[in-house]
Amino acid sequence: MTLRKLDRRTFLRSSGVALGLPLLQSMMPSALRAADDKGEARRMVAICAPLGIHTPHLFPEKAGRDYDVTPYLEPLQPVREKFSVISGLMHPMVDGGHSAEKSFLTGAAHPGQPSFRNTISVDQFAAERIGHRTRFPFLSLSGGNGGMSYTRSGVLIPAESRPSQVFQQLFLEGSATEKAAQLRRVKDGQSILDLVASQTREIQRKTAREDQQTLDQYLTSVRELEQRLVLAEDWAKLPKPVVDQKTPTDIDDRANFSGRMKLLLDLITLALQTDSTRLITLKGPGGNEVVNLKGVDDGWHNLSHHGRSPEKIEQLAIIEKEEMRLFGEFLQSLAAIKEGEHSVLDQTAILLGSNLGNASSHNNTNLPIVVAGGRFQHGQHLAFGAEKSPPLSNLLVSFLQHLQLEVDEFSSGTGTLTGLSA
Amino acid sequence: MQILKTSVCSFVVCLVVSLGGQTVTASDPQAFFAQHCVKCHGANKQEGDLRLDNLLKPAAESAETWSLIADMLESGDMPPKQQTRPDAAARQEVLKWISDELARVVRPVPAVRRMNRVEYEHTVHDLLGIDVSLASLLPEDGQVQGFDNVAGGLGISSILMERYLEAADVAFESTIRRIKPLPPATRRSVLMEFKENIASVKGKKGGVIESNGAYVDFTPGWPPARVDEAHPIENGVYRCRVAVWPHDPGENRTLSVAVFTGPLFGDGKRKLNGVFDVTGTPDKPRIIEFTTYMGESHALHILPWIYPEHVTWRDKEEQRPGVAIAWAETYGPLDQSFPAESQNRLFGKSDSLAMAEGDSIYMRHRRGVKLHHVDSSEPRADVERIIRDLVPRAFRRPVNDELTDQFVKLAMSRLDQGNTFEQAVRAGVTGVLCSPHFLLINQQAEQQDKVDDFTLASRMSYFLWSSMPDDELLKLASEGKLSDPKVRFAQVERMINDPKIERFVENFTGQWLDLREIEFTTPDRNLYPEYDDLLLQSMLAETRGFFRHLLKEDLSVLNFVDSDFAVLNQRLATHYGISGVQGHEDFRIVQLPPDSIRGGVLTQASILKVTANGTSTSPVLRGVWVLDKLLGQPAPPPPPGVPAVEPDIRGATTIRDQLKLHRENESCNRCHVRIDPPGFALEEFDVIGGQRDWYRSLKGKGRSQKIAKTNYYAGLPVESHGELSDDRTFDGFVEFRKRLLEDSDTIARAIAEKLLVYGCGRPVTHSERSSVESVAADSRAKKLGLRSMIHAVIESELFHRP
Repeated sequence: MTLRKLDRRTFLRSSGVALGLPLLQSMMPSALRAADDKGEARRMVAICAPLGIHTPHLFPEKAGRDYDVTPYLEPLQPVREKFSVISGLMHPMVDGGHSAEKSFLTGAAHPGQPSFRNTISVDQFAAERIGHRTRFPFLSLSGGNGGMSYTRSGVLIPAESRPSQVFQQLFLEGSATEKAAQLRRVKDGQSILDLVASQTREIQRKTAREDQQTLDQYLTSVRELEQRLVLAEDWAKLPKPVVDQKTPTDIDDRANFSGRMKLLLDLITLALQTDSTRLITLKGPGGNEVVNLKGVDDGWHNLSHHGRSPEKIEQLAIIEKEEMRLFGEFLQSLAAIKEGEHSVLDQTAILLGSNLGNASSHNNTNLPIVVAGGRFQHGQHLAFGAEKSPPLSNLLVSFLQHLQLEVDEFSSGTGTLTGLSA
Repeated sequence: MQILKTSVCSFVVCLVVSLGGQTVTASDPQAFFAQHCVKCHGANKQEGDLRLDNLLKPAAESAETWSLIADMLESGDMPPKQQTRPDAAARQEVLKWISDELARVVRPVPAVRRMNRVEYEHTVHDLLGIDVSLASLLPEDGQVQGFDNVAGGLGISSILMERYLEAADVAFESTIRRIKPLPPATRRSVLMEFKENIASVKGKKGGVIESNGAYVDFTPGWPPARVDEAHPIENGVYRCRVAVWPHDPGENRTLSVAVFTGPLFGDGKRKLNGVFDVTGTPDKPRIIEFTTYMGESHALHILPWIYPEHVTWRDKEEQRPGVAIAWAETYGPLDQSFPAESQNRLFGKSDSLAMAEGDSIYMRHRRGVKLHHVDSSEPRADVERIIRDLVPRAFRRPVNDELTDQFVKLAMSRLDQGNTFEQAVRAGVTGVLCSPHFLLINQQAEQQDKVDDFTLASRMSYFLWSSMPDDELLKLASEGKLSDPKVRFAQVERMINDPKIERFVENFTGQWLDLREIEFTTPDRNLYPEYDDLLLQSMLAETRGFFRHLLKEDLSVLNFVDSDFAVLNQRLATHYGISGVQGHEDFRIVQLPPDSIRGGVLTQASILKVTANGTSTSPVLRGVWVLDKLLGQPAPPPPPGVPAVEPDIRGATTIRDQLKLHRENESCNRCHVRIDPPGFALEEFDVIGGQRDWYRSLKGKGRSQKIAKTNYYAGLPVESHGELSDDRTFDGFVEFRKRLLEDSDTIARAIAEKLLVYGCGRPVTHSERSSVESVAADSRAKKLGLRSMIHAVIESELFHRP
């Protein structure tokens, strides 16, 4: 009984996740892949730590290639030449403490204001252009609540926080009857959307000018979903990749933060390795839970509001060091997977950072940023001064160019990030 | 008298402007700007890139600038303190002039919006008679002006469309009961007959004991009180009963117990069914009773919530208080109808319909169970009948045949392609639930200059019930009676008296007062050991109860600033130092003693908690909160590149000293002169709403400052005096609150504006100022009663604007 219900709920999600690409609907996905990506799969992963990363433990004092190893950078040393730590960056006009996480991948100004409207996140911008090349145009994951990906109209895309569900969608084939039912619903969906589109157009004819925007959005959304369902139908006919692993068991206990994070990072590794998707965002964990690491006895969120208390900072560092250790392992595992003459790490631009420069005062400047993988100049501490530091969105432009998109601007970004792009 | 004079003056200005047409005469705002503004915003100097001497009057392209000017004037940010300030009347005249001009040139704010996810869930529930969770399937909604039901903030994306398809599918599925329910039965668990509990007592796990044949539990933690034999074996609605009595409660302590239902293991979502006082005796226990939906093998979680908490090493002299649990039982499933009532409602009753048996399903406790689906001997006729019945109800207005036919055709085409009857109905229903006619609110049948009665019915019900209008409202609309203000008045009264008004109480207070954020931080256990779940639940109940009381009794909205009563249970009364309130379960209206600092939302623990983090309070956050929520004059964001003030709980400096430094910077000071004072006054309250004279600190000098039986020390004393931006001073919170009440007009306008934004579901800008004024003025005639203010919102021009 329960099983039936699950299938029903997941079916639509598994049929497409999300993609908005109008041009290429008549072509088969497999044909698209061969045609577009020049034999190279470029990817990106962006991870946000919503409770910040204590920068005194992250940023080295010295800039350049011979930077001093800080406590948080120590776990990353095995891949020292594959990453850079960047200080002094921020999104201009992005403030509002925790609210700023909404803008971490979008750069939209003043997220804390009551009338804030977000803009598209960098992964979605890319998904609109290259998402059709993979079964899943993107994955939006979360270690807690919310997510990092926003649509063109600034709507938060619900993120998946259960690794077992994502694994099923990525790798498990349904039974023949399930597949038939799925196909029938895709067809139903297409007819329904067809009808809804014509009704929206009808309403649009009769409606006042100031209300057109809502109806335009409605119509565009319906059209995009229609096209997505067409692609979903095509993908449904192709077999899913086979992996040599069992569906992971979700960890519900938030106190087991290491276990939960590891499941997510392993899943990301699998998704990249099988080329199931090339664009992944992850909002890291971090809430009121008391993490079950030795030496920690206060809630994570409280610890981040350390108010300069050395005891609290010490406990916070235990958690954040564990985060960095897991991140280090993640990078090493990607480095070990070869893809042609490169490693998956070389093919994947990875961002780990936070919207909070100082979680205790909730400020949004001098953000902690680590960039790994991709075709960048690595092995350095890239330090920008407070004066004239480039906008963080320049880094996002660098990421888009790594994806081989011909883009010079994104959000407040006006070029690639100086000193990083090779 | 003052009010009268102001309104007469504004009338004159208004007259001059409208008679003067394009040119602006000398006695008008230009003179005002010349006198007060152009020195810094003129030809010679353009502070903040603003130049006023060449801005004649609001036009579409300068609307934003003019709104900013109005904000600055209204909040008193400008002209700055050092300059001669205009008198209040002149300022009001200019403000009115700006908003009237803006109203003429600015494009009207859009009305059409989609439902938000909360409204979607309520609407589908009310339409289909189901209660499956749907909001959680949809993405979060955006906010405009602090609310998530406002046109412009409710974006639509293909992701959302996809989720609508999915949610409609889930909703349809839940209208049908697939297997015959078991006959109702009692399942009973006697705790001391269950082996896990016996083992817990034997092993002294968590100190649990047996007393008079009952299992006595002392904390909400491990080991749990297991009542597995009472757990239902199939999904359904159950009446639950739990027998409890207090064990060694000690003096003047009311024990309470929280009962949750949900999965036995894991931290999946559990539903809190209530917090109950533990009364009774071993011979005559208290029988707690409630009715709720429970899933197959869902558990009753019976958690002792004991306050004051007993700590074994600390409170040695006292017997340990615990909750004795004798037995628990469930009776059900109570919903016995098969087919389900929701199915009958959607499919209607017809001899042609039948429940057909399909695949077998394995169930541990009964054999040969078949899944059922709905079948019809007249599929075409039934499909058509079902869709024609559903469409007008779903669209909340009469629908022409042409539109209905489209859905009938869709469902028929499924039949033609060989799908089953049920699949065809599913496609039709999903189509209806994804149609813009269903999902969009405020879109009229035809473009008119006045809203029709059906739109009015929807506006009223989405305002007060967060859902579709009921039959009575729709009937009145179809008779054209809702245009009559008297009928509307009676309906609003009826709607406020309906239980569905709770949706308004919860959604409005959740956003206006930020109650939705209440669990965002958890107070530090060392600094605030007295904080517990009982306090958290009580905080929420207090503020909602307070709001509900003002609403039901039509009491003045100024009570939000100061009231001579509070809505309390024993837990909160103890927290507030008020004696004579017994029991945690029931909240009651308590007349506050004259020497109590409490009264108004600013003294409510919920508000004090949402405006703080777990360890420290910030006058800045609280000040910003007061400016926005109570005065309707939100502070602009800080200018870029200003270092934020970082809290320091090491005990050597106060945030007040740090802010003093901050304010020496002129660009900071301009806003902080408004922000900080309310925050300073509120420093008298800690992060959980307790009153304090000194800060708690984790560090201290020696034992003398250590507070007995705790892990914290007495830190620096609290300073709560201050000076408002208009030079009025206050010596502590009580005086500050008096100063705040002196601005009663501003407060009434602010609350009117919040209600207008929420109630009309559209942004309220300076050009809607006349609606704000009219709501404030109308309710002023009714002593600013909250209920009257809601009536005034529904009678406002904005509410009736197409």
